[in-house]
Amino acid sequence: MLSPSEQLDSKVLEIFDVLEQLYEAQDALEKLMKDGFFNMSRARYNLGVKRVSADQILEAELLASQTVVLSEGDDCEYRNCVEKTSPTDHEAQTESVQTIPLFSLHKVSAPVETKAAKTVTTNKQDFSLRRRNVKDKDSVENCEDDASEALNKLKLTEKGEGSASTGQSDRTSTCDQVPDDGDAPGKAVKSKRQLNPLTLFGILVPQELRTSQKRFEEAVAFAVQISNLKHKLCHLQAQYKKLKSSMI
Amino acid sequence: MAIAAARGKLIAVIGDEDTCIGFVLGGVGEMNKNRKANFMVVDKNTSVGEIEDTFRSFLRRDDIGIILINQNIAEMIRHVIDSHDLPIPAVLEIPSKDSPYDPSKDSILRRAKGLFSADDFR
Repeated sequence: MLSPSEQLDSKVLEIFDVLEQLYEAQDALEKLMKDGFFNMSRARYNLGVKRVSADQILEAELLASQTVVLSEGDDCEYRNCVEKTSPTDHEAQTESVQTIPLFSLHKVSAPVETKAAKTVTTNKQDFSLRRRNVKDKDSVENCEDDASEALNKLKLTEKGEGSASTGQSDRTSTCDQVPDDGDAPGKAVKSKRQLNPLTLFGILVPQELRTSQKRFEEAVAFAVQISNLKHKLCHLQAQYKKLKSSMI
Repeated sequence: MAIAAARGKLIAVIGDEDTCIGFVLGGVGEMNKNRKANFMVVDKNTSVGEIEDTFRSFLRRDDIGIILINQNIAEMIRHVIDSHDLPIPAVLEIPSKDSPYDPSKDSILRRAKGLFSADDFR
């Protein structure tokens, strides 16, 4: 069991350790950002001033590929120790404690862009056009026969009953190889949300912009690390104050 | 709710044009369903009130975990940043293209500096 003064000393050393790590991380972040800015300027020189500006990002449908996941401090050393000071009483050490939130970077790797081509077969002409690259002729002929039969049925039902509901059910059963969702024929629905923001600046972007993107991706990781270190620092400060007040 | 929790929290950015472009390129930018972005581009025409309002709106949003702000912009709204003492969202001051990072201006590091007085080391 350490004496209170020894505990205080160890806390001071811990604070200095964290401060050192913090300064190093800040320095690395600054260097990365500087390199990122430099590469961005070079890309701007290549593409033009207006092609790499805020106009590209302000109205874009963006989707974050890097987020932070909050973990409630797995490290037991930093657990349950942050004092939450009330705004009315700053000096008093409140008893309400909460866990230290530690961030970990979460990268969305799976492509989110969904491309669902929805097609509807309404008549024979449309069907033959969509199936023109199919090699197996027999299956195409069979399918065409089915389609023509279905079309005849459709005409008969429309003549006989004049109801649209039966026609609809027949239409959906013309060919089960093609999905039918009841939308307009051949309508392609594509989600506009961008996962890779590089595409906002064009398809063939200069290498400098790619390098800049890499630097900023690394900078995000450092920002998360700095944020965690600052949380640790605040926590150690609170512990130091608590120990000091207990000594007095 | 579970999906949102699994996806994690966003990183918001308040900065000049290049800082915002850079971090959006880095993959932190997102436009939500209400068409509200998690970044703000500050230029010479942006008022301090606008920056303050945006910062407060980021603090209120529960899907934001970290707010990155250029240190020269943070200086403009220092009183608001100093009054924020909750761990989430964490406010992080970063350098900008024009001005380097100065640790003596950082809110958290200033608090750490004020922790030790000369009497402690006698």
